[in-house]
Amino acid sequence: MRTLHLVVAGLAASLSLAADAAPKSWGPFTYETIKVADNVYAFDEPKLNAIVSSNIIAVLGDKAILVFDGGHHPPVTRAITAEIRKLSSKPVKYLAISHWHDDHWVANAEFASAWPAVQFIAHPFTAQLMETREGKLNGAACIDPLASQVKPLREELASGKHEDGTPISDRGKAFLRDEISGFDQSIAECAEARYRGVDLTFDSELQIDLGGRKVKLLHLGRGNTAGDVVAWLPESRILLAGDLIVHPFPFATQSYITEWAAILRKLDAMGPAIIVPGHGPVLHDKQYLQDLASLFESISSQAHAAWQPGMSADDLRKKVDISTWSARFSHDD
Amino acid sequence: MRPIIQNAFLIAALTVSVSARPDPRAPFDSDALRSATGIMAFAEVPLAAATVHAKFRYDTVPVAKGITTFIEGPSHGLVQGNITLIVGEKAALVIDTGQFPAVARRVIADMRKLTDKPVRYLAITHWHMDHYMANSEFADAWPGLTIIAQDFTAPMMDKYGGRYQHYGPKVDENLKPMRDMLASGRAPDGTELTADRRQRIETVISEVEAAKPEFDLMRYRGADMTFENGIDVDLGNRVVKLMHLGRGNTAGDLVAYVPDAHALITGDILVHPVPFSYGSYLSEWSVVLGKLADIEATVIVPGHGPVMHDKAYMLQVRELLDGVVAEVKRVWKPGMSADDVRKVMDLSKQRDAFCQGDKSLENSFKASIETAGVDRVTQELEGKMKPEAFDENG
Repeated sequence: MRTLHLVVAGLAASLSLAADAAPKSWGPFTYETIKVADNVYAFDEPKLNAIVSSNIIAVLGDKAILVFDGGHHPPVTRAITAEIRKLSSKPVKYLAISHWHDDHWVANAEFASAWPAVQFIAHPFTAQLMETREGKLNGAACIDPLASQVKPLREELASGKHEDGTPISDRGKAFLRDEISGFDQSIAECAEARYRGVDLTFDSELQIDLGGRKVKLLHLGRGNTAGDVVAWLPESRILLAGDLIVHPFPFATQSYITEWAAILRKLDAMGPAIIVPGHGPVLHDKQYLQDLASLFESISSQAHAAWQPGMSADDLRKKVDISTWSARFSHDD
Repeated sequence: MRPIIQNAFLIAALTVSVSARPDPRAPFDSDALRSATGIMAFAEVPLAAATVHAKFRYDTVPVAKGITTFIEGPSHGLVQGNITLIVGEKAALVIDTGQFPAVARRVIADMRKLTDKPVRYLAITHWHMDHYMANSEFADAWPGLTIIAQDFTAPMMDKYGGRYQHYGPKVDENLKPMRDMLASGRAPDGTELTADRRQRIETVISEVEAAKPEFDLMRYRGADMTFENGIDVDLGNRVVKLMHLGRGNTAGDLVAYVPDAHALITGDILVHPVPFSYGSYLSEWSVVLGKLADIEATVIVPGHGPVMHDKAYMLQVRELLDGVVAEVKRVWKPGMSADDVRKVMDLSKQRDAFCQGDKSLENSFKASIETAGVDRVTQELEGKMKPEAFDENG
């Protein structure tokens, strides 16, 4: 499987290329508006694109609006800011960033254009890693990596053959075309992306009063990243989970599996009635959350039991059996 | 002589009204004070300053580049906390707003002359009303600003802020004993008022009278954002660290540190010239001061009093708190009340070190440290800290 170095592309790419099967059509980048509860709206990607964008969630209060994650694609986020204006006359005053992966905040500047006084909030680790991306979001620094990733895809499509020489099916070709189109869109967007950093950082807990509605921002430890933030709406028991929960598959690159499992158990104990994941549909029960926790606990305990000094991760992989979990998460897809 | 202000809340006048003693400088009767009105505040009013009617004067003091503090001028009746402006390249942050809307409006106009950056953040150091009752003035001047406080502070502000904005009629109640004294020419114990004392009472009444309309102007505005341990705010090439370092003056004290300027804004963790220790946590306060002493700070703004350029006063306060805690611990035995403790304790060393024989300071010291502070240390030893409250020590 190809390795896409751009973190944001990794998730969708792994899903798409691994299967080479799902008869989905990809792109163009868009969103759908989902009413999560009264005054809580999620703007979700209807399907995973080659270059993914996070779910964007707006929590409307009597005085102000908080948005959780700003998404990846400037034109899509711009359209969402217009949607939010239709939902409320109050300003977006706070934008909380769940973690540092590009697909959750590259389009943040659109919110700053729409509401100049908006304050961007994140964990210090997230703010720090976002800063390392400054100067890489537009121009050649943005285009070149995407161009180098799409080039082999074009070549593959032109040749009609996989790297190993086997012919590409029609479905596979359609798939590649969609993917290439996603990269092309993303390259076009490199002209529009502008860096906007963080204004406020906190290390454990922050509570925000939006007027008639409270939002708690919590950092519960290292999980998907070392700076994960979730939003908790105590009155309505709604959890905005960021990529601590990604549906249908967790995104576990460079993560902290054992600690992640512990965080998921904490989230479970909070008793969420509704969970909005970082990617994927709104969840109305805790089943997926609990499955994820069990999966990570299983991986962690098996790995800890099997590991001996000197073993590589590849060695370890052979000893860890998560076949039942694989089937459960993939639904044999 | 600098007038002494030991009023975290409201009325300095009570000292005059209830300490019915021939010598106006004699230490007042703290029992009488505590039972007086439900207002936990008072001060000695030095004679020399009594002729100046210092209605809401303040000094504008440069602290560091882009940092300015507005410090209350001489006051005999009503105090308000220092207000500090911190300016970055994108935005500005203000720490505390005082309590008088009219003062805040003037301060805001002065701030606009100092910077064209919008005030986007307001950080409130703690829940005592002289630090935030003018929040609404700032919110009107800069719509969309975010008011930040520690988790403990926000609900305490909610609890008392709304109540306090209708305080005007109570001011009259509090002034009545003083007016009666002027009318009869006698103190409650029958002693005749001297001309000096009469003048002091008149000054206090006139200042408090002048402040009365302010209570009608007050509109409470609470916190938008609260935190447990800390928030870093980036103002554009300048970070302000808002930190809660533990319980001290209150259970929700916020301090602000500006690393690039080595500037520390402490709120009432430091009050000059005598600490204000009503409802405080003296042992833990000392620990907090130890943490502050470790911070690289070359300029320190207290909650009340002048800007400081070294840590001498901070260390002096810490030594005082340690001394009080140690002395109460030394004499206290299970079953002893704070009054029992006071009968046998000896804080003369601390008092002398702090007050240097100044009678006014000694009066403040007696009220704040020997009375309220010792009450709190006794509660600590009993393992029964009373909840902080506006009325508690009144």
